[in-house]
Amino acid sequence: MTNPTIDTATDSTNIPEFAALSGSLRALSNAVAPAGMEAEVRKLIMEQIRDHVTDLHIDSIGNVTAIKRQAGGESNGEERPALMLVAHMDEPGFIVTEVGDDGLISVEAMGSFDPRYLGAAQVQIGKDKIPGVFTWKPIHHDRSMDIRSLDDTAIDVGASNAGGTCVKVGDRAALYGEYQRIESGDLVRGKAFESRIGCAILLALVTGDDLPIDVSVAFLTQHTIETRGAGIAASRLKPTSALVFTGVEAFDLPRDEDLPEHYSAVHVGHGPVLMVGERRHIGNYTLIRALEQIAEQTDQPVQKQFAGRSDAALIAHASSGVSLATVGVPMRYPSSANNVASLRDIDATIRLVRVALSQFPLS
Amino acid sequence: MAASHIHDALQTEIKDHLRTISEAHGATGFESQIRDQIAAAWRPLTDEITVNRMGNLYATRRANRKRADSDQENGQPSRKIMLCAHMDEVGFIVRQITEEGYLLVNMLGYPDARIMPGKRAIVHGKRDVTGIFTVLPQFAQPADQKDKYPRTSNLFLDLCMSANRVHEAVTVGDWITMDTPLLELKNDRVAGKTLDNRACVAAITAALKLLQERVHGWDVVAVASVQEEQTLLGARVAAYEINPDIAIVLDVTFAKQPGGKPPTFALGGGPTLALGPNLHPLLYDAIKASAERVSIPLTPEVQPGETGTDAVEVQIAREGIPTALLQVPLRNMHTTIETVDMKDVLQTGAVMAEFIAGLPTDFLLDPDLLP
Repeated sequence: MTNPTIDTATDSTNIPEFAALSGSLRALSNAVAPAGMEAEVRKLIMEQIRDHVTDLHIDSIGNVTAIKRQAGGESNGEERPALMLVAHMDEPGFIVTEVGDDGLISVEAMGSFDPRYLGAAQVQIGKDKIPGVFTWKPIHHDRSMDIRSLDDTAIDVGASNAGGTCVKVGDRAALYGEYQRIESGDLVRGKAFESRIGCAILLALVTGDDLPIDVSVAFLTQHTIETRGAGIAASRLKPTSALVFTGVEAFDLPRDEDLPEHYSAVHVGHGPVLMVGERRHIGNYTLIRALEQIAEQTDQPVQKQFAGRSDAALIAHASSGVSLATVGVPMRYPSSANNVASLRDIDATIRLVRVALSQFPLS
Repeated sequence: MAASHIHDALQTEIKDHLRTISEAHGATGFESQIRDQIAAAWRPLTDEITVNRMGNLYATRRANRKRADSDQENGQPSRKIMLCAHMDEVGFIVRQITEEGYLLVNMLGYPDARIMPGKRAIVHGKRDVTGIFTVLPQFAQPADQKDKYPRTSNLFLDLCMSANRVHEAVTVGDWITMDTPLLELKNDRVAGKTLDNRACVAAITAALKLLQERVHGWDVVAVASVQEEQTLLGARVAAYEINPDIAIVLDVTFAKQPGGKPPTFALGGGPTLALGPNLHPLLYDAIKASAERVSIPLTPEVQPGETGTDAVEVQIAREGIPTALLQVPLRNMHTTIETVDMKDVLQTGAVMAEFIAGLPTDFLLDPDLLP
């Protein structure tokens, strides 16, 4: 795969609706950015926002921060905007721990995967995106249904000795995936949607029509490593409130009647997800209620979810505290290279936020 | 012909051919699409192509050696060697369409359901539709399923469309195969689906190409057989219909990989030649000698019983057919990332071409030589 750039032409053919959004998401999704190797996504983002923002800055952990002034470019007098918009860039991946004499490569995971999706996975390693596969002990030799550890497998790039791999300890790897629009509808599949959908939303807000207020933006790194980029960006931008954008896992499969009711279900195609709370953060109630009302007024269905872990916690805890809400876009199969999401849900989220910005500060 | 005669050009051709046939679709019992692809490749290399009523493909390359006058006077037909590689792949079949439009599936052959979550598959219904395999999330699993891989019965296939649209395209009983482009790794290795057994089909193609430059006194019948993965029907029927004097069956064997159960064989170490009661010992010796003559590496692979390949049926078909089994080492069998070394595929073809070119008319006519 060549280095992706944003290109609407590919997505315009036959499916004009959401072509620009799809083109943007395609480039972001196909780009490879496990924690500590976010350059490819960072470059795409910088390229896109450069002419639309001021104070463009990359900090020591790799976050991209900037300020987007309102229409007319006039600031409302404050150095730092009150509202920060956030997405993260990195995708779950792997880090090379050892390159064997037999040419097989040992790794550990960075970020959390549902291990049932990792068996016999295809991967790409390092800046050169060297193709590889996780070996899998054949069923003829082992029929056990117990989950296998990454320790019992290795990545095979075809080399028969260490030198032949062109891989070194510390290199990062990601799942291999190719973005695709599904049939002629709203759905798309590809990898890394959890991070890249958020990035696509921010890019659309920053590079689209002028915004009614100043905002700061942060594209974070190391979400997959306990969201370590989040607090740093908040410390620099010092917002008083924030909106965090991310993919959130949907549950669209047939639902067993016995499943307890408190396992709420988020569905692809049913609109943006207002994250009422998660393990280390409770969404700001005012923000959430305001978003919900705007959704009602604009006839936009939304969903609610109490689960997950976004960058919210570390942002909320920054300096004097930040009131924030996480707005999610539903997606399926986050642990695979074939995530599924709806362009319509992403578009609806962008619209919802634009209306919300025009009513800021929300109460 | 030494290994060095296997030119880069031929290896590239065979790799491109393998890409085409690996990515093509033909689940066990539903082989017509892959048969068409193989027929297209074998037609220019052979004199006659036929298809049997159960779906086997037979491609005959007639002997091209000028025959002794005595043979021609006696009207002796050329003796026949059958090269047999199964063309079917493991897959799934639609068992049920849920209310929401998800598919529940059964197996065709024995795919490894444990690796399916997150992988793409194609349902061959009224049209081809691509889907993604998935399983219930961990929180929705019953206690005895938590932290376990799924069985085939636990898999859902998500076609990403409404139930109505699913019903327009898909019916219970439609066959399903994986959607996996062939991945090129370093060192002439490739990873993808169904290299069991398309790598061996490609080895036969390589042999047929090499034979274009050789003189041989035996007819060669290349067979792409059906249903090896479930019933071994194709091999049995082919052996009956072709009734060859000798047969070489081609399949894959286990390459060295983490956790592999010995014996396993190095990728790039050449094919293996099986030895044991399912294989004819004198045919084994002759193929081994032929490979040694031209320095093609051939590793013995001991098989104490039935070999689990088409050779099981061929050896005992009709009044018995002397059978050999050549195997290409392969990692990650029955997954979407089966891995082979192209050099092994080419060497396998070269062994066959060399052996065929050297076959004398009276080979194996004397049963007293059996140990």
